[in-house]
Amino acid sequence: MKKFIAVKNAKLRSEAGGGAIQELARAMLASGLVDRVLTFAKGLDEEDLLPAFIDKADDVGNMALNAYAPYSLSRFVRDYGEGKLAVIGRTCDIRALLELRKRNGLNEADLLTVGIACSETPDRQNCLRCEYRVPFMADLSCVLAEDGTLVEATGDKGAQALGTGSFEELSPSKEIFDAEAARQVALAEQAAAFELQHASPAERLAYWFGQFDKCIKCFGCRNSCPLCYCKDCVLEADRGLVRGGEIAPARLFHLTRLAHVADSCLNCGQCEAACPMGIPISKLYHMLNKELSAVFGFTPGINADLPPLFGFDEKEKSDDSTLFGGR
Amino acid sequence: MKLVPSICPYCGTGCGMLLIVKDEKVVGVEPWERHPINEGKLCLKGWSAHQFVHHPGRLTSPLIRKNGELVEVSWDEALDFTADKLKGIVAEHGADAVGFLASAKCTNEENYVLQKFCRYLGSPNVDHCARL
Repeated sequence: MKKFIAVKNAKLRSEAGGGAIQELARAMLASGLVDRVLTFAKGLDEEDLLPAFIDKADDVGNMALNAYAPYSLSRFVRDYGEGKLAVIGRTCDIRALLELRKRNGLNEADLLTVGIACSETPDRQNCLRCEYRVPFMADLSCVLAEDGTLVEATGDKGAQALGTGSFEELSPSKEIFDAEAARQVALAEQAAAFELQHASPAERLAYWFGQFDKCIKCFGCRNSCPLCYCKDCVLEADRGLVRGGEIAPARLFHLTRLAHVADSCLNCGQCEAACPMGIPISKLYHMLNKELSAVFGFTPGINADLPPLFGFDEKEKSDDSTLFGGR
Repeated sequence: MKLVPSICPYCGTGCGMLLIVKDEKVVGVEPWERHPINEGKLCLKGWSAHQFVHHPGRLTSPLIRKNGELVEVSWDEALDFTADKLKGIVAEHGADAVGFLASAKCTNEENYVLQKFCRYLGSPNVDHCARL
């Protein structure tokens, strides 16, 4: 059930969303429900937003909400998360966590997810194409408004977290973010951005090879991808594909990465944000992921469905036409 | 885990980076979006810049060759040794006999101080690896 809430203490309501998210973080820490909260916090100045683990209830004032910063919180959970941890992030962060968990790519952290809808579109191409602006897959799905937060607990875990805080239920003063309208805009953006799908295979290949040839092999796209979780990356030397002392050819580098993450790409855009050469990688991944979604009926990070290539069913195992058929 | 803003030590561009610090050890690097030089991008060297910090092959104290073998010494001893040698060479052969190599891995300020020191001794010989 959705509720429109603000922090009970009227003095603390000046923050976006009526201070409800800060109160939630404070209360979860103070009550011992979680040991740490991973979220975005202010760095050296107001516009310097960095991922931060907050472990003291007094420090929640430093949190930065509803602002774009090109860091994937899920990567910090993957690499440094432990104990009872709450993640307060954007939909793409929450989706990545869900998808990593399915693929056994997360460490043992006991996770509670609080998603904040991107009600204002960041000025980034991949964000303009994003059709999942509301984090309905999080334990607590939140939409910030000027004077309060529309919150929905999607299960017992979320409801328990919400129960730790002191909130006042209000009635929304004006209309809150229209997710369906934003989705329609995103679909129109996709149609425009994916114009290339209608070109001939030769033209598409020429376009992407032209882009790949700019690559300087910084590995930034791989390093910043929340779903690139292999401990031993096949693109590094001496892993069976690239000889020691050499680097992968640019075109194969990108096609190999594409084959690895095409089914799990969330269009979070971290790869493109990290690319020093301005290669529109997230457009390629997003476009391919949409094509694969249509084939397999699978969209990563929105529910508990397993990826299409996660295993073989009984029919595939005995079918001679599949790779391992009959063995 | 916390992120500590810093500057890439690898070349003269001076990209901003965030050092990932866990249990007082540098374990990784993130590009720093807010830094005006690189705006959240890094090259391969920048992404790998944390690897040498705690590398076992890294020198952790100055070395002086004594009786043909490199021996670990204190900074005081190393600086006194260098100052005595410098003074001796300048006194015997003149300031032209010494030169100074600055580094792109240092800050502008450190490089300024080095060339100032070089001019103070009276030597015109100052050069820099970023000229390569």
